Amino acid sequence: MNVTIQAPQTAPMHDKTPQGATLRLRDLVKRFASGPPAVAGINLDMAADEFVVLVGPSGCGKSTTLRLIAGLETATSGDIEIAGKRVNDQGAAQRDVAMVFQNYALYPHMTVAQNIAFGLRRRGVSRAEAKAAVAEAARALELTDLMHRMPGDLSGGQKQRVAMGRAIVRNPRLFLFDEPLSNLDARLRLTMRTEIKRMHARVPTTTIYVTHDQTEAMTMADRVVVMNAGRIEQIGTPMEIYNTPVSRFVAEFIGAPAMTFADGVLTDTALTLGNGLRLPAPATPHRGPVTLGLRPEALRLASTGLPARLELLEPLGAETLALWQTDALGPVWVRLNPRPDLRPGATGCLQPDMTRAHLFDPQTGQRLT
Amino acid sequence: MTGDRRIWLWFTPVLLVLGGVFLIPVADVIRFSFSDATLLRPVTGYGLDGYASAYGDDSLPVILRNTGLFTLLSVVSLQAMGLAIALLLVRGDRRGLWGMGLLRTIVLAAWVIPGIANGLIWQMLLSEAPFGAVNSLLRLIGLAPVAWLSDPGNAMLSAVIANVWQGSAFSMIVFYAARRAVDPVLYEAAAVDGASPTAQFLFITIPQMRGAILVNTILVTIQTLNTFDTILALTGGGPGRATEVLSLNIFNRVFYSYDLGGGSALAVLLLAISMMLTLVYLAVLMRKGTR
Repeated sequence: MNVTIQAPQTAPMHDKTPQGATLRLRDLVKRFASGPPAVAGINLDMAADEFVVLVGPSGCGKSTTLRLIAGLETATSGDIEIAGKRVNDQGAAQRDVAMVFQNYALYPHMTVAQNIAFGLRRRGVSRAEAKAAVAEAARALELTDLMHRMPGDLSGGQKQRVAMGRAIVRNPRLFLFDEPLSNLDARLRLTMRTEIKRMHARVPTTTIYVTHDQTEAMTMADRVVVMNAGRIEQIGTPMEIYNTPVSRFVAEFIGAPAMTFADGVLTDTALTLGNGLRLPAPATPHRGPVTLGLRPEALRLASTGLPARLELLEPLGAETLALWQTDALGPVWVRLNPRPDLRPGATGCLQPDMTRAHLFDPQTGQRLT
Repeated sequence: MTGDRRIWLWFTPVLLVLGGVFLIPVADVIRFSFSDATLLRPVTGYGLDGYASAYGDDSLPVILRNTGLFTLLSVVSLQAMGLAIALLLVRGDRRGLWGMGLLRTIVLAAWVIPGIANGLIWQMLLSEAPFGAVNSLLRLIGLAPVAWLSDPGNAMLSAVIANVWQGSAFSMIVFYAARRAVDPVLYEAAAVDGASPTAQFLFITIPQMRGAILVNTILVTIQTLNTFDTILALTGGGPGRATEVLSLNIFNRVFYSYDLGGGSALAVLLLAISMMLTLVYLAVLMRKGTR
């Protein structure tokens, strides 16, 4: 059966005049009193209305980068340009950006309506105009019934929506999200993820979203920026990052379950792993020691291949994740179609698909092509 | 129902302690206020004579006016000074300035000085004799000396200055703790929202510190209403009755005139004023708080 999917005639929103501003970071460095720099020379160019996710482990400098853009920290060196204008010397109040904080940072002594109106009022919008804008934002985020509640009486998801309302009501040039979903339960996180994406489609604004959750990064971003130790490891679309990670770090960080790695030596004819197992050589001019990386979908169950014993199963419904113990690769995650017959303890053979293998330099961790 | 009865079990220790150190003495004062007791002889009879003599005293209106003025000026200045020093300290802490601990200690040093000593210190500083430090300074910069303690208007001001100098440390501690407890992310959110430092002070700091301001207002008011030692040492209530406040009048009545009954009758008035002001503050600030 052939199903054709038609591409939209025009990109739904982006053909409008952009609402957001461009953002450019040049050699941005932030050094705190002690230790290595938190941000160690970052370069990033963002188009207007683009949705970029900064992702990385704790302490990689992603939140500091966001705070530098917001004006909550002062850059040690480098430039921050919003809409082509250097803003390093402007305070947070002057930059016309909006930020959603991890703990929502709602003003506890103000009602929901007052929280949302606060930024408008401080920017000199009249009471009547602010009221209309707040009502509109409240409608968009389904907050209308909560307008007279205090933040203390709201649930986590409601607080999150108020924090977003406070941000969108101002039509800022930049939207900054600092791990906004990390305090929510798993189900609500999914809902809010969709809601944020939907909001971005409806009201496109240049958005920078910080998270340590690679799933959020993959699902939300136009482009993902993977950060490590204050530097950018890789910038690319989610699929670029997933399919061609530039380093072992990126390959390890993006994708769940994680990629399996094994050291070996590549010759003209074969890739020989540490324990002597020989695999077909992938198509690459490179020779010598390499680190092989295999994603869970690059292995399949077969009659021949690496002998393996099933350790545990994670049935997810549409697919099943299986952790196999092998002599050659150690523990390996494999993505399988649901297999009701498989039980932990079962033995089988795993066949790696070497066309989907990733190779990295064992010393530098950089990708080998 | 058993729950209700068990509550009393929990309350009993508190009631015993409070009753022992607070309620019984208060009850005793009220008993004395209806008696003819003096410091020299015990109660021989009960009646309203104490109230009649104390409340019929011609000087009472002046004393109440003094008390009101002294309390009003002190409470406003104590809060303002305490808040100013506390915010300065927090700012210094945030910038990692050297000597913030020292500054805190110096401010606190004033607080641990006994009221009598405080009165004496300020009496020497404000003295109109040649060794008076403040007037010497004024002379040094070419200004005329001020009659700090002998002019009735200035004497009240001097008493307020001495009280504020000593009492600001307490307000500072309360406000410092309250300000430190405000979540710093609120200021970040406000900054991103475009709030100027003044707006942040008005819309974040003050509302967030409302509870502390309420408590501090009550405590500082009661403390000021009860202050007589500083004034006793500074001016003795003079010149004339210019700085004689109610608590000093009670002290004089009981310990110089030995009139325990009349003194107690006025102490009941002082208690009533304290409680009334507390209720007013609670009503005003709680209503705003739950708006």
